[in-house]
Amino acid sequence: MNIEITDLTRRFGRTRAVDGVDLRTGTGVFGLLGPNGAGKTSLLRMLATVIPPSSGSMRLLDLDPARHGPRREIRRRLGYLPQNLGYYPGFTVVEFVEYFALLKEMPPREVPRAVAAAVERVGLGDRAKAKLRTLSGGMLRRAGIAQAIVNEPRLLLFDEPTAGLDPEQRVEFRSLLRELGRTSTVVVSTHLVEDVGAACAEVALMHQGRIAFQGTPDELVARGAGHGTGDAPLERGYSAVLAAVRV
Amino acid sequence: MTGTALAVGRRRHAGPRLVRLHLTSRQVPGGLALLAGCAVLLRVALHLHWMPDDGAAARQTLLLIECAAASVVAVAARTPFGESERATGPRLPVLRLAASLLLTAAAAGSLALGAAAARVPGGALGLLRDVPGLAGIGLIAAAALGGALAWTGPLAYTVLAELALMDGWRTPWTWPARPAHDAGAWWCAALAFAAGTALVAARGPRDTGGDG
Amino acid sequence: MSAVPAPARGGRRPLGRRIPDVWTRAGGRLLRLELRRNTMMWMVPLALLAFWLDTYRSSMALSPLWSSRTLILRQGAAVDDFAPFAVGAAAWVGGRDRRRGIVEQVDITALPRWAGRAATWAATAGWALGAYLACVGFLYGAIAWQGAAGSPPWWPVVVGAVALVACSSLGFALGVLVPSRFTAPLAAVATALVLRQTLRSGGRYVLLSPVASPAYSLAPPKPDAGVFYPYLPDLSLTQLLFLGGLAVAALGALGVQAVCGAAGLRRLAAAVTAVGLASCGTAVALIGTARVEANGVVVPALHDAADDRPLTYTPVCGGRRIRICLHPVYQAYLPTLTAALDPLLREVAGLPGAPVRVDQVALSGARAPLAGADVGGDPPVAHLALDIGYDGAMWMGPSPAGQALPRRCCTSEQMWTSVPYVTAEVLPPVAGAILDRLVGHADPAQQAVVEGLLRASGVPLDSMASAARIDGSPIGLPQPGTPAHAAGERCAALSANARHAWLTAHLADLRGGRVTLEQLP
Repeated sequence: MNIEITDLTRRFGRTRAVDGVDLRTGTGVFGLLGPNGAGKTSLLRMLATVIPPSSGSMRLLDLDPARHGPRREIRRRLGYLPQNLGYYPGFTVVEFVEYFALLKEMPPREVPRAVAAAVERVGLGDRAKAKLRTLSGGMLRRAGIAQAIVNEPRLLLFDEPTAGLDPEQRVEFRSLLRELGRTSTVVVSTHLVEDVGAACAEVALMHQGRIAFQGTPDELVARGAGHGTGDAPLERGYSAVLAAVRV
Repeated sequence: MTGTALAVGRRRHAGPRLVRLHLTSRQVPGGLALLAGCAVLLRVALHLHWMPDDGAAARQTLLLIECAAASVVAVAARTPFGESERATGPRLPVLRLAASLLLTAAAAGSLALGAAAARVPGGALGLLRDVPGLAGIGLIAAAALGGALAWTGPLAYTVLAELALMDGWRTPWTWPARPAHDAGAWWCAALAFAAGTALVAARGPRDTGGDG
Repeated sequence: MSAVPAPARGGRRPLGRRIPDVWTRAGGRLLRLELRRNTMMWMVPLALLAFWLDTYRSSMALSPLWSSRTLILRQGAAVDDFAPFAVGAAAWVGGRDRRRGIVEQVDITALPRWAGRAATWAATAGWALGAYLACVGFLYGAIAWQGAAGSPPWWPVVVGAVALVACSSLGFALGVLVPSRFTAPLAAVATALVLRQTLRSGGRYVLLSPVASPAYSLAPPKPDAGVFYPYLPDLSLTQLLFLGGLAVAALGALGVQAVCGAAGLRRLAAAVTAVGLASCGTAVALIGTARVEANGVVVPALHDAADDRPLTYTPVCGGRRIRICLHPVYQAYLPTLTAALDPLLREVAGLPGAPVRVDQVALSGARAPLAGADVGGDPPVAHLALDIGYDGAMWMGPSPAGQALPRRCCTSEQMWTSVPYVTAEVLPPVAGAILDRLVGHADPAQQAVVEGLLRASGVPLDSMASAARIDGSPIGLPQPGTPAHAAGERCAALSANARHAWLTAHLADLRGGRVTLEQLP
């Protein structure tokens, strides 16, 4: 198991953003769904070792992120795309990705090849030398994805990765997700249920800091049979689960 | 070879490359230019006899120039990358530490150069004590308030130290008001600098979201 | 159905109607929002601390007179305390949109960008101004509560307020136009440096600065301003023109960029900038014509001749043989002054040509000594000018070159209510003026008698020498070991009655140079 969390809680003041979450998942693409404020981003930030949990236990890649040495090892094998991507506008795409490759302690000899591969994989090859300030929102998002995958991570965390991508790029991204999911654990937090349906083998639906549903996309579709509202089967399942927990 | 590969090229020296990228992302080149500007300002101030003696007023003027240099060090701690950078490996603390040390050394060095062969109020040694101390205050402020607002630390401390100069306070914690031979003042300045660099290296500047 | 008078066709609508309601409402709400989350709010505690340590403590160390206790404020110390924080915060807020990456989001809103920026600036300046006024209000309240004599000067408060508004505007404009991470700190430090340098400069145009050096300024704040003559507002008005002009020009500059709205609005912004610059230019021209007079800075174009007429008052008097009369504002110091001057006045009272009264007069000159005196009129009256000012306060500005900072022993109030202090500081110049008029100083006999009288009055001769050095007093004392010195000692050793009797009989001859050393008793 690459992710094993038990009774994980994160409080911000009086607010429990994540409230006793249990989750175990191995290689593959894992979708994290939920309405705004459900706690998806807080859970992802804990998985990214950016913030520590308030309570509960967490093991990532069979290592304990609470300890310094293991956390360092996890971070070498981690890729993270936060919801709000920070970037230095004066960097080129290559410099941006290379900077993260070097920070992730990739062997120096491998860096040029890995950077080139990551930039190509997100379709920014023709803009490799462009400054980030000249890119569109979707392109910036792709540059963010490239920095996340540059070290071929075992654990990949994407927070709203397809925001700003055009339909063609979204399709390509889903394909990339499936490819990455063959060797790594990829956690994708998103509002777009069609992304989940197309790319994820497993999905969890969060509501008010807790996991209200965990299973395959098909199981989520089944929950929506004859219930809920929505245009697509997954949307109906999503609505049905939320309606049930809100009662 | 793809266009991207060409753009990346073959780089063998990863360490210097990483340091260069890190320093660029912190706008260190601009900061160094401003530090050079501070040195020129100090030179002009000395040339125009804005600081004719060792009196409190002369030392206040010097203190303000030191504050400007320390503010540059503090504000350069701000990171544009946010959480995606924080989730990376242990090179980041080392880079932060190196950037802080480099800029502080550049700040003290450039001012010392600006004051070369001239008489500085309180002595050149005092300058080498005050600038790192003020930079330390700035780095502590960066850890507490975020990189963008880090300048408020040195500014507030400077106002306090100006009053200490005028009023003749004897506490070593207001080290710019103490003579260069005061060992206690050296210790306090060193402590502030050590605390500031350690905090910023270990934790980074406080993440203030979009406004950071 | 009621008849409603129709508005006249073609008539101009009032200005309020011409501004769309939605703008005024949006502007108000925006201002409220900005006020709640403004960065300057977090700077206020730092500025308050600086104000308390600097302006408040220093002011409270001065004598409880409005004219004295507001010296520090009139010198611009409060502006000096607030300005770096106000400029830094304003520059930081000015660069906020760029820093947050929301420039385009806000640029395309319906509210003209100029109005949006003005609301943000207004909140920043509002916090700075509110904190400044609260501090000055507290200071004035404390002075009033302690029963300070005199009346509060309001012009310096207004100048300080407008100076802070100007600082905020300039800082904000800089933040908008140069939105770098380094702008705010460097703007703050540059402001502090500029203010510090104006404290070291004595040029005419430096008078436009809201801070003034007691040591270098052409017209340092007078400790008795508004006591004998009305408070001269000429300089304050010129400063307001200059600082207000700076503020208006900077605010106008916020609206001239292409993103700031329609062409008409941008033209208006450019016009506002031009008006601000014209105001600054006018102030510079006016200060070029200024004259520094005894009562302060006179700007001919702004001067009201009524301000040159002295204020009427009924003096308060004390003393037995020769009355000492002070302005009622200084009534509290009459007993100390009477006690300090009594030994001298007792010696000279009744002698032909001795002053019949000691009258307090206004200070003259930019940097008067602590006390100055002269004797004039018929019957002769001694005129005494007292500088109940900075002495005893923390020294605020640069000390004159080569002089060390004075060590403080006590507050100004403690000094001026101490008979030994007043004896040391006031008695020598008064004795010098009176005895020079009474006896003269040209020949050895006159010098010997003066020395005898000084010794008999308890005047410290060292202070006499210092006073002579500082204010060019004509008193020359005989060197020790000379016959004149010995004669002076003999004169001092006489009984008061014998000395008085001899002087009554021989003073005319002594003054006329017809008495030799040998003829002295």
